[in-house]
Amino acid sequence: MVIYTKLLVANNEILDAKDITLNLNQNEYNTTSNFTISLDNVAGRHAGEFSINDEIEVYADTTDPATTKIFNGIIDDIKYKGSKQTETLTILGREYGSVLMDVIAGPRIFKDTEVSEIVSAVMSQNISLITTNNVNTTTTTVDKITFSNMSVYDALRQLAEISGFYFYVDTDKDLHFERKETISSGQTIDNDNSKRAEFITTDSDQYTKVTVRGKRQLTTAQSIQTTGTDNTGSVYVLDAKPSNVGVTYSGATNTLLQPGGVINLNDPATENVKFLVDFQGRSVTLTSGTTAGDNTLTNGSVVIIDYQRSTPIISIKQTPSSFPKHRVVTDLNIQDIDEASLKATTILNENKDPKTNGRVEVKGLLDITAGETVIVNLPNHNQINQTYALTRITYEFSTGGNQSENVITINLNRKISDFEDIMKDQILRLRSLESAEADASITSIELGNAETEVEVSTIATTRGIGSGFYFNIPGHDIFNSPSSLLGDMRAGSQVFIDGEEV
Amino acid sequence: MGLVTNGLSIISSNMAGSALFTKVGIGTSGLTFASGQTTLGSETDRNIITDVDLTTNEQVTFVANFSPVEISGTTLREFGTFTSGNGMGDRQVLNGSLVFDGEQELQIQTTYKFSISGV
Repeated sequence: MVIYTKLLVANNEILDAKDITLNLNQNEYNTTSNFTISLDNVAGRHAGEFSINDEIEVYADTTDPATTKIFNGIIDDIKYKGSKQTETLTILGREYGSVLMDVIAGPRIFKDTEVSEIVSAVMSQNISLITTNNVNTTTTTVDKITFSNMSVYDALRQLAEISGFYFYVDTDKDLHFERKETISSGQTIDNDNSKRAEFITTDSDQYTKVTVRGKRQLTTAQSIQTTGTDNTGSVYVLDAKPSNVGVTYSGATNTLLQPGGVINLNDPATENVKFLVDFQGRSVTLTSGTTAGDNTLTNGSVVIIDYQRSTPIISIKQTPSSFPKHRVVTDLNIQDIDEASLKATTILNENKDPKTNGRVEVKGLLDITAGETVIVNLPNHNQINQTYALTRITYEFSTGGNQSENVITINLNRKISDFEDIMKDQILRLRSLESAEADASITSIELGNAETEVEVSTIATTRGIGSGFYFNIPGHDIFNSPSSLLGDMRAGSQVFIDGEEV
Repeated sequence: MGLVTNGLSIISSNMAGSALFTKVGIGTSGLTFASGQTTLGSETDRNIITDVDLTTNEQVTFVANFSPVEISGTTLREFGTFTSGNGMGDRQVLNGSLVFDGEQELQIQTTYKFSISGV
């Protein structure tokens, strides 16, 4: 069956496209959908015809003319190449959903909120171009999650991973946030409709133990020790490594001992340091020296040591395995154990099993959508009636390909990390580090979308002046009579309402 | 979040209470209205607002009067409401004109009515 296509650029039909390649992705591919279109540009026939941000629409059908829109997006790049009779023009771009990647989500913390509510809130706060009519309710409520210095796309991806959902933007510019593997395309991939297949199962991204480290928290502690009873000599050992230490002699009136110093750095013989802090040794030593004087206490004296201890936020999640593989994630934006726990659980659930990735060149199957499921029955690849999600659909429309239905390649199930994923991960980690010092208590004011309309109306009234009035004239000397008046005899007024005379 | 009707009443009453607008100016220019205008086309006189009417919820009406003597000889084609700092809040252009020959007085009422949309 022949496949027919139609290409519109800025609402103008382009009839001489050589190749149209579309990559329709759901979020497994860590990117939005994109396109590459090549045209002959003999003698510069298309020179200057297209502009950055022109809208492109691609239709495909098995009937002519094609009426099913399978893609729309905007041009990001325009490339001219060649000379004279061999000139080619290539236009590249992304779908409208690419705005999700281009907009950095405003900093926001959500607590005890269901995931779809967070998705809707993030979208309404940051993006107006994409509607959210197909954001489905999840069964996941997040205790606490922080978005800081990350794109809306990455925020949604994080939410999708937490809740077992996936997302994409359709040709109506509407965000779909749907549960994984719940929408079937109704299609089966088998030897009849597949031309070539490739399946890989690997444990390269598999982890059995995930440790998530957040930022350390300082908490106040106090140690009250009796000299000679709780310590030995002038050294007082604490329960934790101390920061911001204060030492007080206890007595009828407490006496603050200051200044302090750092052990092996400050010398009481030459410097006025009353006590020395040994961070690694978890201790405080009262000094005695030429300059510092004798600051030690006699047995029975009580010393109060106030300090701050640094508590790590760490969550470790693991699953039993004979072949353990560990992963450590450090995210300094995490300052809450619930958030660390959520992240560790999500990473473990996503990666605890070996991943199977499939790539199949298929015939027909125009009417499929990334994210839907197909049944794969390719026994030679050990795939027997397996249900897999479509993670990417690649269309390569060309004259020959359209004639032979050699157009569609589908990617199935899980994507195996490649260089792009590793780089993306590094970028996200860098952003996380950069934003770690931002205040963790982010105040985000959500502006109402109600508008206040002010309507201004005017009345200008003129009236002739006059001092005359009727009095003692027959028929005009009766008070409150509708026909015989006593009073003002001036002529009528002239009135303009909103600038128009009435 | 959205603005409630009571908020409109608060806005309108505060417009009056803070004496946001204090004067009404009149002029002779029939220059077409444009939202970027900051002055009347050709102002001839400006009088203080003598009455502020808040009897209707969510709206406020400012009233200014001009005596026959001060507007005598004027061909009125425009007027507007002004703050004490000379900021013009609105401008009305008449579809026509009013000629004053010393035998007429003039009263101008300007009403700001607030409503909510887009909720």
